[in-house]
Amino acid sequence: MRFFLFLLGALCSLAGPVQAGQFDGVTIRIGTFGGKWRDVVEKNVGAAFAKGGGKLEFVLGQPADNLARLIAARGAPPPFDILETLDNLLPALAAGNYLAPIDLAAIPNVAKLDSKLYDTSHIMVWVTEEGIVYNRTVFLEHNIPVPARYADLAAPSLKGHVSLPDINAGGAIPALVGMAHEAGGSEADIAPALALVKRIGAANYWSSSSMLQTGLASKDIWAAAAQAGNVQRLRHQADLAVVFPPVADKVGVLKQGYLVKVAGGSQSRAIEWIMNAFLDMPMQLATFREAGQVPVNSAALEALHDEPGNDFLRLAPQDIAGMYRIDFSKVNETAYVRAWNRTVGP
Amino acid sequence: MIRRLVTALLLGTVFALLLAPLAVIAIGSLDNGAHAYIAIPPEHFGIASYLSIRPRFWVALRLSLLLGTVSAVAASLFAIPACLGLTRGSMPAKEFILVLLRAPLQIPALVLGVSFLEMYYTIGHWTGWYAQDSFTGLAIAHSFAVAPYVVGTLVSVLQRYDNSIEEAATILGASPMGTLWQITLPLLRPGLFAGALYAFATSFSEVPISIFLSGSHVTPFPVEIFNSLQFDFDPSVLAISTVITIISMVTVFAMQRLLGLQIFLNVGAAE
Repeated sequence: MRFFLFLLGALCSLAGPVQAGQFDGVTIRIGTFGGKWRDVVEKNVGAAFAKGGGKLEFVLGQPADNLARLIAARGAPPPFDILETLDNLLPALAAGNYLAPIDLAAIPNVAKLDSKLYDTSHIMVWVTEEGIVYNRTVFLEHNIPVPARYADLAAPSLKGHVSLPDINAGGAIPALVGMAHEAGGSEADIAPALALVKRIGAANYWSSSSMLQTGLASKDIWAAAAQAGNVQRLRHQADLAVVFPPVADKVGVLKQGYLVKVAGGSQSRAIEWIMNAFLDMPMQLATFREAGQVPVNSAALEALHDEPGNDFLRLAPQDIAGMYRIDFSKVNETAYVRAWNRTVGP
Repeated sequence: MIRRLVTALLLGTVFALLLAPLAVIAIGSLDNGAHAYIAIPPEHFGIASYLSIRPRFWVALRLSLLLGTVSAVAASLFAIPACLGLTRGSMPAKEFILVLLRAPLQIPALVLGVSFLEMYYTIGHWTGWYAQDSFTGLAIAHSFAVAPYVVGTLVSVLQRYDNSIEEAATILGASPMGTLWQITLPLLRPGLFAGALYAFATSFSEVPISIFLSGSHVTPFPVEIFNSLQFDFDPSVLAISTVITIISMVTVFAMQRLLGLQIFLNVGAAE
């Protein structure tokens, strides 16, 4: 009994509310996205860490850029201690031995996560729900039926007003896999998806969220294969909605954001404390409210589910479970890019 | 008369096309309502985007100004002796060396960025000194990338250079250093200034190399902007861009009024 009390006490001291001086002089570098996301992390995680005397430094870039930094640094001190990355890069990170084991006992908030969302190599901190985002007002004005499948984006009434993700954009793999399943392919065979991309003949291929959002908000783009978070991010600028097309026996596609602990880093206690803070309620709620991603903490999901105006998202556990998760063991990104360049590229 | 009108129309069109992007940014920065796109014309006039410029943008701007200056000066210090040697010396394979000096222009900048990053890690592995995520590392990479601009302009000036002026100075008793300082360098000034200006501008707006070499300690201004816009649209980017445009214009105008740009552009005997 005393041992368990000791263990509980130890866990609280590790990962509970930060104590003044707990992390005096400790600097942790996190590789993550820039823009508003950095501000969200700084406000909800960095500020709390600073109360304990620590300092959170940011190495900004897209996950692929940060992976390139990590690869360049092999054998040398890593450029960051924690990396925020995407599901498609996890196999490369694991294969390259860039990951250090996470001490899950030091992250009590994982208890609020579905056990499939974490293990000792990675912890999911958010997901995006990928589907078709469209401008409700414009569709009504032009009497265009709401798209139900990716193929509906090829409708003549949408010609010149559809945006699809560029092959290098974060939303490319979910969109291609979704289209592939719809058109008779799969992760291992995206040829049908590329044929569909060609048939849709997009007005442009968005390469960043800001490019897509500019198009959607200015009404140049009426519909796009993109994540539901754009509806939240543009809530005050455009009347957007999202539909999740059928994908295999599910609907929509999930893109997953993870935190991993980088091998070669130090300050394990502080790293795990920060990972835990990512799963705290303030950060998880801000993940959606300020950045448009869907949290993974069950309490945060419940709170958002009960909030009015969030019904465009699938927030109930059974709804999230009903979304398609990509099998990355069958995804060959290099082959995807080659095939894209041959079929869709200039 | 018709010819003048056509000329004016053509010139006006060219100027409009050149200035249109700047005008779009400046006008868009005055919109208070937009948070996700550039609103032209502004839906709600105001200066909220100017008031929300993040302090880190100013830090990054200061860094980029310094980085551009250091890179341009370093590239010039390297290019002057290199170009003098190449145009006057009798070394073999001069053409090949000149091609090598211009090589950074032929290599994709992203490749340069990754190469420098790899090189810095390799050097760090042997010496313990890692240059990535440091001002020094960025300055070395930028100097390498912008040196061809200074080399190019200096070589073109030196190829039209009248050597007899230096010979006259020597005959009249000037020392080699005196000739270099009082004759050669002043005659090279237009090419040097033009090359250094290109070098500064290239360094100031450089992203592909910097994106790999920046980190938690140093982030140049364009990388800061790039990172901001990758996630979502930030109206304060328009505001700070407008501020930079205005500062650049005022600086050039002030230089023209106070110093006269012709002091830099006066080719003199080199013509």
